[in-house]
Amino acid sequence: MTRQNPTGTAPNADQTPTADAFRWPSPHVQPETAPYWQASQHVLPYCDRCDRWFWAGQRICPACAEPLALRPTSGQGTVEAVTVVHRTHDRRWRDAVPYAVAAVRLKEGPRLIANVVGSPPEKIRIGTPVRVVLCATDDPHIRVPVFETT
Amino acid sequence: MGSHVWVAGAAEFPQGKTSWPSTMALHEALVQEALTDAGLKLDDVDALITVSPRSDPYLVHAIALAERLGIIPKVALTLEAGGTAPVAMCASAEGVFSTEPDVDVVVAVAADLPATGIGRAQYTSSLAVAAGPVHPDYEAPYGPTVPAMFALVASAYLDRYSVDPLRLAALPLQDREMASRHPNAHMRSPMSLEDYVSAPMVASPLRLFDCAPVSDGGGAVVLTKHPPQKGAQIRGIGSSFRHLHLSAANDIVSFGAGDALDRALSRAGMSRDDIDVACVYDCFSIAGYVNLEDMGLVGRGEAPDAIAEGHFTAAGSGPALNPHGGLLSHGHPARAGGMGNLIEAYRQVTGAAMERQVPNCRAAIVHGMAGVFAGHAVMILTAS
Repeated sequence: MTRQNPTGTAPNADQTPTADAFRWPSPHVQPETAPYWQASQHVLPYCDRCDRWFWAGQRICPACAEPLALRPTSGQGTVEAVTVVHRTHDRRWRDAVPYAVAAVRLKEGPRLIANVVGSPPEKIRIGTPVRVVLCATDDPHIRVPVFETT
Repeated sequence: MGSHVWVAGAAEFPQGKTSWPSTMALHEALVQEALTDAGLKLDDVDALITVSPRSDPYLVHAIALAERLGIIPKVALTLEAGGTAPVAMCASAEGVFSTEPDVDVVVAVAADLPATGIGRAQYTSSLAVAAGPVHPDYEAPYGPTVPAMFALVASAYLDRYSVDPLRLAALPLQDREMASRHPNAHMRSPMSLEDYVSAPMVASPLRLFDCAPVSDGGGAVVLTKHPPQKGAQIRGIGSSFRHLHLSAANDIVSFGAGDALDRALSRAGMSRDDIDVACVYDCFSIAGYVNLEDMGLVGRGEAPDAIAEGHFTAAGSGPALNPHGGLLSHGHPARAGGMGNLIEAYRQVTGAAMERQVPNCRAAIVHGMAGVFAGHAVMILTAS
């Protein structure tokens, strides 16, 4: 599989880099995380009783101890922090440098750390509005939520 | 006020690329050296506290070390505490002393060989996928390296306080200057601002020398229930654990180091003005700045300028910061990260820091950090 840069500047200049062209390494899907990765839109844990959203790893509401249900988010957020990775020893990502990793605050409140596509990585600024796009992985049944600039 | 635990001896060998035949051999040598420093013998050891090294896993590392040393301790504990382990080992010793009446001497040792035992590339890539600071399910799929996680915090820090990215050089430069006077430091060759700027970008805005090296190394301390003839007293310990992964952190530029320091000071009955030396966990430059600011030792967004202006040196108005060179230049020995901070604080308050000695050092703080600003532990040492 040929990797292209997920964030806009392809190593192969004759190809048009888009989120469609890059396949993310599939996350390690386990019974507990499958509903998150297999959802048809971006979801996060939500407590009905307390009307509170949580980051993806939360399982019970710390206020009322109820199990949390996954609920679709607006998919809209703002870049809170961003870095361009220039060096990695991870062979799955070595050919993708430089790529952007951002911390995004979703409109609902929680933070999601993920790649940002659709802009050259150096151009992504803190405060930039972004939206979730689900992108293909090595596993045809799994898509990962990633951000694109709006 | 304060605890009834003393540091009676310490040991450390050169950090960096080493030729130890095994991680266990390094542990063995550190224990023997620390006991010699304390004027004690192997059969004086009542308890062993260790950290499981990445380069040499055992079912229970502390028991494996006891077996290797040929001793039968009354207590053998192996802690999982990330970079808070050096302080957590001392806190555990305090607990052991209070519950085990026949335990008088505890040896706490942490060492690892990531540079030669595992190999640098394998070590750093493993950190992003297994038992590292990156969440294996929700963060790892996006290829964030460990420097990238700290770079996220750095980007938000520079933005929030309008700090010029080149100001990040202040701590790497000061640490390197300090390390040049330390025979055990990993990175001792002089570094200029030009060297810093011309080094490759690792994860923007962090360049190569914003990142601690991967070092073999570690250290050991002998902790006693009774005051030694020469040594340091542990006056107070405080910790804070607000999150483990950056995704779950409340704020992205402010974390728990201040909570830990407040608790330690309160237990010691001391104030920030009493601190002469501060050994602050700086696995990345940004960690040093944010931790100093969270601890209230300098204003928000002001740490880089304050360091550049010499505020945190022996001659400055603040505590002398990382006289050993910090993790950035003294070294970062994987699971033993931060042992250098503990050893240096001990050397400074006992007046044994040779040419690095900060004059009239009465109190030093040891700060340790786990993960990406996740766990914090602070310990205050004074001359006994």
